[in-house]
Amino acid sequence: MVRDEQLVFFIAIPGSGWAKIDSLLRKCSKWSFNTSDCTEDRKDEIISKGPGYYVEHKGHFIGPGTGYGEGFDNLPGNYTRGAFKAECLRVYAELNDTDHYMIKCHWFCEEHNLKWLVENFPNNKMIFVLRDKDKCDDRWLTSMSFEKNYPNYRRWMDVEDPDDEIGKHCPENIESFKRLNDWHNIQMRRFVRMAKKPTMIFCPTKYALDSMDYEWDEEGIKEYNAYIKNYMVNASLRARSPSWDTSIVFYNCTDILGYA
Amino acid sequence: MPEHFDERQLIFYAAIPGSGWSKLSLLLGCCANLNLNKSDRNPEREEIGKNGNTGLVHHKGAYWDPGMEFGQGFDDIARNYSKESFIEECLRGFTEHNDQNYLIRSHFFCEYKNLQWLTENFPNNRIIVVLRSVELSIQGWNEGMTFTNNYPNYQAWMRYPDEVHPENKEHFEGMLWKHDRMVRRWILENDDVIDIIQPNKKFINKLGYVWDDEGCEEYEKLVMVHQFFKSEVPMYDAPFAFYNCQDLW
Repeated sequence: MVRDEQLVFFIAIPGSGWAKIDSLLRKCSKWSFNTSDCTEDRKDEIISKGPGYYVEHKGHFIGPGTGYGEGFDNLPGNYTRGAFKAECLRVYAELNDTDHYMIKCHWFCEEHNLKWLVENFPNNKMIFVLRDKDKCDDRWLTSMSFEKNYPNYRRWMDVEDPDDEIGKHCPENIESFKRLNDWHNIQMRRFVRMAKKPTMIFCPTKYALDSMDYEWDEEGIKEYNAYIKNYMVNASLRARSPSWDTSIVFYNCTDILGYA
Repeated sequence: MPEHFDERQLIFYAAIPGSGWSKLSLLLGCCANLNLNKSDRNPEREEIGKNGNTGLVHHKGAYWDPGMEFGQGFDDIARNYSKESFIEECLRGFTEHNDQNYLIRSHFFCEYKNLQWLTENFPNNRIIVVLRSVELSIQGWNEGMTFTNNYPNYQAWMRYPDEVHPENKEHFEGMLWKHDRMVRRWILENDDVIDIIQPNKKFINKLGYVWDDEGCEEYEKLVMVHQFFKSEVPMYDAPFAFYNCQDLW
């Protein structure tokens, strides 16, 4: 039986690099995140950047268009507490009463959903990823497609576009994508600012990851290097100068972080 | 050298111009855990910005950089100072000497060779860096500052003495890019001992923030001008990078 508090709500807008942050946090043993959602059919290596094989998106993504959480754009309208929890856990193959279960959904950004989550899961942890909205737009629009990559972003489209490709989107869909990202970004940041529970915001340096017992095995090194390579100031400064432009917001996570 | 001076009382503070580092340093001045000496402040060392009196004082206290009041040779510390003469230059900005910490603010600390010299000569000292994108920093500086008509003086960022010479802008921006690259490289090389943290209320309270009149004013200034930079929601675009500071919280 999975207790409510084992669910960790993971929230960000597309293009923020949240998938990589998710991968880093899953290597932190203090979190003990369950990984039974990481199946072969749930990954996308198409947009790998830099040398070496790296799977950019792995594990579940929940929300309209992904096959799970089709009603997650409006939690209070579409779910009871129990039905929501069951839908969240449906992406995991193994359930126990000890692990944390990351629940990744862009649509949690919406104000009514955040309010509902806090009311129905008052003791749960939330993790947000903050990155400048324009950078998020630019990154996503130049590295993803709406329907041809994993995960599916059909819900961000305004019109059908069978020719949609990575970096080649029709103006209407670019506009609708940016509009939704803007809306979600504002609501998410407003929540963070007004957060009622202890909230720490920091970047994933080695020091910060070590404080959460990051595992520096082969996979851990690969994940960390991929994160650094993907967050350089620009190509000419590669390998030397990360922008550290992405912050992680830890809400109600004091027991894991060790901050009183 | 003051009696009972401990070199660990020096906290080195670095950032590029326009990063909001001054406002953020004033925030640190309200954090009891940092216990900062404020005797470098006086009415001559204040600046409200080129847009006139908006009720906000953006710059307070001493700065150490070529062309500024102190630290003429801080562009190359190893060449221009011994450890002793460097300490003396740092302390020269303060009128009172006690057991409090001295925040030494210098843009040129961003130079990689200077960061290396500081960590070699002061291995146990704290270093605090403000990280903000170069684009936003350039915008921020241009909106509030001039090279020579405001405090502090930025003549070291000019190539020609004419304030509005077009090549000065290019030179200024080039220096910001260079310093930004250098300081970020240093952070990456030391990121196993560096925390990069956003100054939200929760965090500054952990640093012992004092919510008196000064504290409320400095926080409001940060929120109004910085965290909400052209936005209705906080941008959180200028975190602190803390080196050797974990004992502060």
